[in-house]
Amino acid sequence: MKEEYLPELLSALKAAGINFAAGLPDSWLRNVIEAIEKDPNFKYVQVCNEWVGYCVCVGAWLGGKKPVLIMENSGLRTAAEPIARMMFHSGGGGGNHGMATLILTSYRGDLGDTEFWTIGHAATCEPFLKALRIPYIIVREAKDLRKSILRAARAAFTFVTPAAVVISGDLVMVD
Amino acid sequence: MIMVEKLDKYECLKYLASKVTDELVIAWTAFYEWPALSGERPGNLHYSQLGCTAPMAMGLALALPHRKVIALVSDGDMLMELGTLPTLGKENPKNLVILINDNETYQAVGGYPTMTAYKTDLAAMARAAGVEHAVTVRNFEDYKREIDEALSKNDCTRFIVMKTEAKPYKLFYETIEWAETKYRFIRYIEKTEGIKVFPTAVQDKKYMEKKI
Repeated sequence: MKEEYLPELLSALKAAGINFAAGLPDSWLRNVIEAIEKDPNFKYVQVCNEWVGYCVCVGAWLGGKKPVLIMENSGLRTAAEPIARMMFHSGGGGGNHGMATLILTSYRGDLGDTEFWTIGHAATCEPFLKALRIPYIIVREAKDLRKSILRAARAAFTFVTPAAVVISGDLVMVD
Repeated sequence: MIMVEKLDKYECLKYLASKVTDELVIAWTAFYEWPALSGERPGNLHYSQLGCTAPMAMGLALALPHRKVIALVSDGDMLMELGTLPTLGKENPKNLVILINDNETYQAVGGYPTMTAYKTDLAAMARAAGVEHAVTVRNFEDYKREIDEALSKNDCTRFIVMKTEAKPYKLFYETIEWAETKYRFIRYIEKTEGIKVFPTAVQDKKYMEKKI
């Protein structure tokens, strides 16, 4: 993410009550993770894959934390199995009342990405979010960042579900 | 022929059940005997997802560092997501006990060897990933000592692999419903920790206060 937007992002996460994070860095969100690691407001847990990251986050939520999982959008594929199990086996069956966490993910492969290998990430990103019944909002402009984080976090912890903020556009791209 | 000593899972769980008080226990579903043995305690959460028990318990232990958290994990459960181990080694939550029932078989599918039936050593893998206290126990005296220490000390994550015989279940908890245990578990945490996990209906509360 462009450095100039990091203070706004961290401020929004704090305003949303986020105090726990797990993550696996990608090149768009690596500096977000570095900033969170340095900030005493957050307990940050480094994971080797997004499956583990999701489980750590919902475990922390059970203990009263408000977690965020930070990852590349390809991580949705890795985390899909535990998300699906916990979503549909834990009381709701239709998308609500599962296990709660905010997800902050890059939209690799979105229009304007420079890397050829991200096209599959884009092809599966929104279909996976929809299949897993994860409410999400795509943020491509800085003016939408704060309110999107606040709204997605509200969705996560009110509806008791994973809810995602998907980062792209002006927040990460130089044209 | 070399005889390898193995534990009786039922007796092991029975012993653990006699020791737990307010610990938070996340159990992989195949621990069918645990709910009855432990008295359907509200501090039990049952979940049916291979590969999730240990990392969920780790998240919970990190969130509540003053509270003992126990994960009841099977060998198939642990093998499904070994990527948990490096994070466990790095974080080393001092209040976490990972107890693995290693019967070397996928018992829930009618029996089929897991990788621990061949050359895989879960405790050795955990140690190599940085988990300081990772042991395999094969007899009841060693098991009891490990459990007693794990429950009484808060000095490091305790990763205990109990080598057990794959025996038929002695009790089968037929009415278990995962969602039910989730709600009960969270309400128990809310009550005992004095925290709020589930949401409050803000709009309804506002209207109630206005006495509309």
